[in-house]
Amino acid sequence: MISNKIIKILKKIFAANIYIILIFIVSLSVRAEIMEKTLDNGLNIILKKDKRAPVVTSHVWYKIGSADELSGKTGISHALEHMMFKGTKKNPGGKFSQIISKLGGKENAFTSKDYTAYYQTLPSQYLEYAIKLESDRMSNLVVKKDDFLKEIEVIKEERRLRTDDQPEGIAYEQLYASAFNHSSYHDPIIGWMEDLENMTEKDISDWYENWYAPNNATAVIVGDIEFDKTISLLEKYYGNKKAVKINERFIRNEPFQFGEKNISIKIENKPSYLIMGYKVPSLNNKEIEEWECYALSVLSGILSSGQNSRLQKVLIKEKKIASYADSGYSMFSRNDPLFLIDVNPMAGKKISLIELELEKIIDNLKKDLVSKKELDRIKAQVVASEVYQRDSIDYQARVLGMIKTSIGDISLIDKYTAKIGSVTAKQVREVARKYLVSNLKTAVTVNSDD
Amino acid sequence: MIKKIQTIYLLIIMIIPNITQANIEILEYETKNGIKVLYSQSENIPMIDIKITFDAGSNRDATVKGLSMITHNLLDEGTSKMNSEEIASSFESTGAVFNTSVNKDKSSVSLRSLADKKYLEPSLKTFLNILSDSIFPQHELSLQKERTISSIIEDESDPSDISMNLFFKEVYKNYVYGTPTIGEKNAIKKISRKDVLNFYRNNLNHMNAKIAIVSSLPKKDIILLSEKISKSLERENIKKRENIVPLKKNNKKNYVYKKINSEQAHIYIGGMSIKRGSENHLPLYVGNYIFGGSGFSARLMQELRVKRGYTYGVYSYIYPMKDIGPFVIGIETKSEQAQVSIQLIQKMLKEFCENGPSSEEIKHAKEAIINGFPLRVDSNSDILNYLSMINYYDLPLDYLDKFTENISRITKKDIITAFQEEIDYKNLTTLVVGNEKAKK
Repeated sequence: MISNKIIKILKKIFAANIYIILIFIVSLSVRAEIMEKTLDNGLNIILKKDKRAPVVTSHVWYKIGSADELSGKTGISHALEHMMFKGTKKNPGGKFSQIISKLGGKENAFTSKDYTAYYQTLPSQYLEYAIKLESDRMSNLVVKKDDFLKEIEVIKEERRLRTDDQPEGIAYEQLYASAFNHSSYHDPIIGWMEDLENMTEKDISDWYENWYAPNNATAVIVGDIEFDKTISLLEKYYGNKKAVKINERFIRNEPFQFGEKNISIKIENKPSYLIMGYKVPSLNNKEIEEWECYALSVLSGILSSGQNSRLQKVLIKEKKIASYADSGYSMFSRNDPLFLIDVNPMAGKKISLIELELEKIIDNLKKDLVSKKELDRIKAQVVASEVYQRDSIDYQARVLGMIKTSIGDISLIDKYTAKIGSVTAKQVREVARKYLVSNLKTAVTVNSDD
Repeated sequence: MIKKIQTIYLLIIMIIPNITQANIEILEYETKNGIKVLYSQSENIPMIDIKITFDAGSNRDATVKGLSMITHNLLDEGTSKMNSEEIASSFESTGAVFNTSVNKDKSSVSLRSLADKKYLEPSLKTFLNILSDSIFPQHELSLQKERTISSIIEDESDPSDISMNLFFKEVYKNYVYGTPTIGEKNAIKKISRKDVLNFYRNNLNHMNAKIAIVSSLPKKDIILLSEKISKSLERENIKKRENIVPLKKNNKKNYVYKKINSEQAHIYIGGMSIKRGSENHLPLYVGNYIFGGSGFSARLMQELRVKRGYTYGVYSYIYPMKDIGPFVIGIETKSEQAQVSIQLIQKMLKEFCENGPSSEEIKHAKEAIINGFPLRVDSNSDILNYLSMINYYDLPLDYLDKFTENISRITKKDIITAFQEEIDYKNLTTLVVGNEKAKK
């Protein structure tokens, strides 16, 4: 259900030791077993019971990400995420990780444009350790110069691995930087190399002081838990923390785009590649009707979900000009995102040919209504994945954390499937007409037709 | 699809030792035509996972490198009753997920569906049809060949694919493990429909199959289902397959440098280690966990990433296979640091093989592995993978029940002995792929 290729790209590029969920269709399960609460100091809590296995996953999500960064200081949210593993006074160095590992747990963290999140997954009887350690580093992180100097080198290696040595990573970075001149989504999550060179440990601790506090965080715990017991644990470790004044997060919105943007990249000895993005609304956009987001999700499914989807059918099967094609859209972002389409041409096939066919596919969507069969396919997949996703507690926690942090209201979980289900063919055509247009479009090609 | 399969083939390994969970009830059944089925009931989620594992990975390619992958990728592209579009539509309209995967040792074909008959029946019917009656239409074959070749060309410019493929070639030379699962361009060009049909008939059949099922369905339904699957795999006139000549463990000191244009050098150090079922497996597993197999707590990560900032990721793994699988250390670092990283890793490995881990490290590793046991089997997909692994490699069913006990018994001496017997640190292959600054 999640676009594999896009995930692959995101894995390469995005920050952190892991990936970000880019959702084409998330299906969200019923909330019967969910509890929500806010502590007096502002810490949001979301608990979900899942007693299939004696295991629990404990997340803390902060409302801070690369979109909050200023020019010249890009990559700092992600760098802070790395430094969060360097210890506190009580638990110096790698003691946190050592304890979690000894308990048989696994842990990691991830940074996106909108948020930074940390998690531990471990046998449920040890949940208290995870909560205790995570709460300690919410307020007591020690940022040492010596640690920072080494860690920033690790981050540069991460950048080289996922972006600088990956044509698709470079194209992805260029796409956002070109599509968004002014919007907060202009800069890469990992940061520009020059900013990494100039970053200091002071930048890190300032960022930490400004944004890491209970009133800017959400704790999400999913697994083999009892609500009241878990709440008392959270109260015990977070309850005595004071709310601090958090600056308002500003959003830079993208001004009008005057025409199509085309970026052509040349990288020696690498295969050609095409990625393009249309500026589309997120659920946070108050100027549009909500159904547009659901219609865009369905539209992405029509384009790329399954072998009978349009991109697969036309580009791969009929025209035989692509070896891989995909699309992706997530309505759960704080700012307006891109609707992505990316294609690996079949060896020897021209990018211009692919662009031509893509245009036809899109024109078609604007002209004719999609079939009932296509709509039913998307709906069936949403219903099924609603069941399948219950197979992973971590996935469930991520969905909850992301929606709470980016959109603010997890009640949309109850309505999600129905809303996808109520999207009509006319609505799909309407969003295609409104958003898949040249002055919302940016295309990046790698080694186009030499 | 091609990409998905390719990337899986060696990445999962670090996380999965050959063990499973004790409190999961594994049931055994043998179908009338002799296929062994392992299944487990999980009543919480109304879904079913079926995975059929075949002794039909790229190890069975013979001279046609890439044949197994092409055959598997084409399974859902046409039967005598349904064309490619109808097959896809039958799965997609019920939310079912059909998948195939191929590695150097085996292949698998799997189906995930909702358990409700309304959804399961149509997709199951298509699934069985694919197993019994794929016809591999010529036009689909031609397209698949072209896509595969295109994918190989992409790999040829990707630093991690280049280095991984070259490493296996250097260690395994002409043995079946030496070739990438995706195959070789020239061999793929020559694949005919007859090759594919023969591969399908002679390799994907009841003689070479094992079945694993995890589902909320009642036992009798699972057994009925197993019979249907096994029936669909019966073929007539199966040609007896040639035995694969066993490997001789023959590691030699070997330094290879390949120049490519990249900022980072991709480095692999390693050689052949052990087969599945080796008595040294668990000691090696625990030892490797300490040396490079447990992320941040491992020695490699501590020394190269945490203390020196050389890399984003460094790891080692031991991957027992049907025949002798590899021991691999991998790292990416900027070219200027390639040689100093190699020297450090070699020094660390020598020290580890000679003196073994400290008692404290062993204690920590055992606790981590034993405590973490429930995490390995906390989902249906995890359980499914373990069932199919136990089944495919003929591991004892009580292996899981004894796992924690076996881990807890491992001593420092066991680890040192296992490393000295199986990881011959003086005779390993060192591969460096990167720009000129990475060269010795």
